[in-house]
This record gives sequence, C-alpha cells and structure tokens, in this order.
Amino acid sequence: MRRTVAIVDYGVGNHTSVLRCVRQLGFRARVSHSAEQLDQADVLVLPGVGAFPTAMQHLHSLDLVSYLQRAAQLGRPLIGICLGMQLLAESSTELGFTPGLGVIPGVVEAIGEPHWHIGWNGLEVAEGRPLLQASDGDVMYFNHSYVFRGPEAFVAAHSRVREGSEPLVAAIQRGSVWGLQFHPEKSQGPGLELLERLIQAGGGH
Amino acid sequence: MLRKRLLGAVVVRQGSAVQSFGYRRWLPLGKPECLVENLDRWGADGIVVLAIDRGDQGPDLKLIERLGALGLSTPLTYGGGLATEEHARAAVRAGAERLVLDAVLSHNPQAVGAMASSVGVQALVAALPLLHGADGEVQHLQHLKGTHGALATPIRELIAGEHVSEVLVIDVASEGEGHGFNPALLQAVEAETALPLLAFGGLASTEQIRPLLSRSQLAGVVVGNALNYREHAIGQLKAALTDQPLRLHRQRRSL
Repeated sequence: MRRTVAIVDYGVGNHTSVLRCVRQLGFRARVSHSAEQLDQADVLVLPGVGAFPTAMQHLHSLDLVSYLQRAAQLGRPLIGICLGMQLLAESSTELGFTPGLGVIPGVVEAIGEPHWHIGWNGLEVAEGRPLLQASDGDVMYFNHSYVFRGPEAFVAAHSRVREGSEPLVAAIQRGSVWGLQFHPEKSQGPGLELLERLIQAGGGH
Repeated sequence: MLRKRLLGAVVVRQGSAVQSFGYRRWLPLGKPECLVENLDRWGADGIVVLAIDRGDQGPDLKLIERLGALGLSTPLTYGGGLATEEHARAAVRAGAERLVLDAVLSHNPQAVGAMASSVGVQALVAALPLLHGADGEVQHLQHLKGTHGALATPIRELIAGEHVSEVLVIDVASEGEGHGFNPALLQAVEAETALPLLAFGGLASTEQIRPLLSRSQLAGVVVGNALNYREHAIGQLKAALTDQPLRLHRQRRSL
C-alpha cells in the first residue's frame, strides 16, 4: 500500500528536507498544520530544528498540541525527528522548564560531558525492536545538545559519543509513536532505509 | 562512537561556485547546485556552502532553496550574510541544517543569542578566519573590513561560553593553495574553547589531513578546491584514511 505522510508544519525548522526525502522514498507527502489535512494522512511526521520552548510555543499557537496528543492516544503512527522527538517527552529544561507533548514518559535535559553530540554515530538497537533491528550498527547523523532521559521500556536505541561513555538515547518508541534523535533524512542510505521501514510499517513494532 | 567528519566546501561568489585562493583570487567553477549534488552523491559527511560576498545583503535564501530542492541526504551548512535572528530562521526554513556565522560575531555578538533561541545553539558554527603573523601571533581576519588583529573579546566570550556549537577555523593564508593547514591556528583556538573544531584551508591530501584528525578536539576537516579536480574525490580520500575514525558511505538498499 502506498502510504500518505503528513509533515506537521509548525513554523519551526526545515520541513522541505523531510518532504523531499519522503517523496523520494515513493510515498505521497504533504506539509500542513491543518487538522483536516493531517487527518487524511496514514503517518504523521513531526520534524524540527531549533529550540524546545520556541517549538512548543508554535505548536500551541497552531492548536497542534492537543491534536498530536489525541493522535498518539488513538494509536496513529507518529514519527518525531530530532527536536520533533524531544517534543514527544513530558518536558525539557532547554532555556528553562517547558512542558512537552507528554506522549512518551521522559524528560529532555542537557547532555552533560561533552556538551555536544554533533556528527555521525552508530546505533545500538535495544532488544525487542524488530523494526529497528536492521539498523543496528548503522551510522546516522546527529545534531543536538539536549537528550531524552526516561524509562528504558521506551528506549529503542542508544549511541555513545566515545567508546565506553554514557549511552545517549537515540530512538524512543511507545506503540506506534516513534522518536528519532538523529536525522534519517540526512543520514544517506542507512537513514533513508530506516525511515522507509517505519513509514511502510505505519509506526508498528 | 562519534566519527570524525570529512566535509566538502563550496565557495560561492556572485551566485557562482568559485575556487577561492586566500580570500583574494577566485576562479569560476559553475553552478553551486552541480558541486553540491556531487558531494551528496559521493557521500561527504556534510556540505558547507559559503557565500562570501553577501556583506549586508542577508543570506542568499534563493540559493539555499535551490540546494534544498535537490533533495540532499547530506547535512547542509550555510554561511554568508547571516546577521539577525530572522536571517537564521529563514535560512533554516529554506533548507540549511546549520549556519556559519562570521561578521556578526564581531559586529553584533548579541544577535547570536537570539539566533540560538530560535534555531538552537547546535545549529550555529562560528567561523574564525585566522592568519599566523610573522611574530608568531595568531590574527583574526575581518575580511569585509579588510583588517586583522587579535581575536576580539566578544568573540572569545562567545566561543568560551559555548554560545555556538562548533568553530570553523579557517587558515586564510593556506586557503585554496593545497599546501596544508597550519596546526598552530588550531592550537590557538583550543586555548580559547573546549568546543569541537573544524579545520578549513589548504587541505588536499591524506598526508595533510591525517595528523589533524588525530587531534582530540578536531571534529572534522573541510576540503574545498581539491574535491573539484576528480570524480568521487571524497570516497578516494576516505579509502586512503581507513585507519582514521571516519564513516564509510553506503547507498540506500531497496527494502
């Protein structure tokens, strides 16, 4: 089945990259913030480049907070990318405390030492995530200084800045809601494959 | 483990990609889109587009949009004319993942905080074009003004306080010459900040790149002119640097 993807436009970040990537993968895709148009999609993608408080402010101003929370409750496939993944959490301390969408239990905090996770890094996929398993060891593009911290039950993959260093959450999942801390659309072959699998599975497991 | 990066640079002047030589001479190469598309196809770890003649015209949003329209699967970093929070937001919305800040660092350092609150600190890279003076002192070139001198206090504070996420250290004297990057410039910046560094200028061969990659604070190297002389230049450089923690490029496999 050829799935339809809606990229949630909340005025922050670069939606064009995700749109072109999804279309290149052969899916129908559109960018929108209208509930009516988002309702027509099989899969919602929440992208994001920027700061958490600004992003939440934009989501509130477009009445998208309750829409996305309801979509997750209904089990609609939702994929958050980078900042879009962090927005799925309960809150963030970036530039002060800001409540998030609260779709997946956990909080977003500063990484610690080193302060940055920028560049290409391998994925360590957790057990029991068959949809992600084929990406175990694949190298993806990350660009963040805040990270998700939450119950292991929702953590689907980790990455480490250095050999033996603290694992950083790279992907989270709760039912058909996925969060990817890396940018699959900018991770060349491995990223495109993973995004294709997630969309094709419609969230899934 | 985080890989070191091998990034490709495309220098743009008057709308055309150019070979740049020390910020003084330029030779036309053609459409930036063609070079950027090649770097994407060849598996660069990132593409850095520097529009060097924007001055106070703001970012070249049309250029970024054209590059975004290529459907790149490689992170795109843009520099040129970025002076305000509005510029930063528009450049990201047009298709840039990260932004290189240059003149604004000294002209209006307060704007950097506003940019960070809009697009995130992780999107901001400080460009420091540096010269190694005859007396051994490292000098900061302000190329729009045509002056150089010690690194100004506001810039030192911006990088020491990590109000940007990386520093692009540019070896002005070596830029475009292919004679190698002067490591003394990296040493000078390492003394100012713990931020990850990128080295750009004069890099053409694996012999020049390898010793730089062994520096712990160096996150990557940016190669410009040398990539324009042959097909799949990025892949060839990586193939000769397999002893380094670089990523191997892989095309998408069909499901």
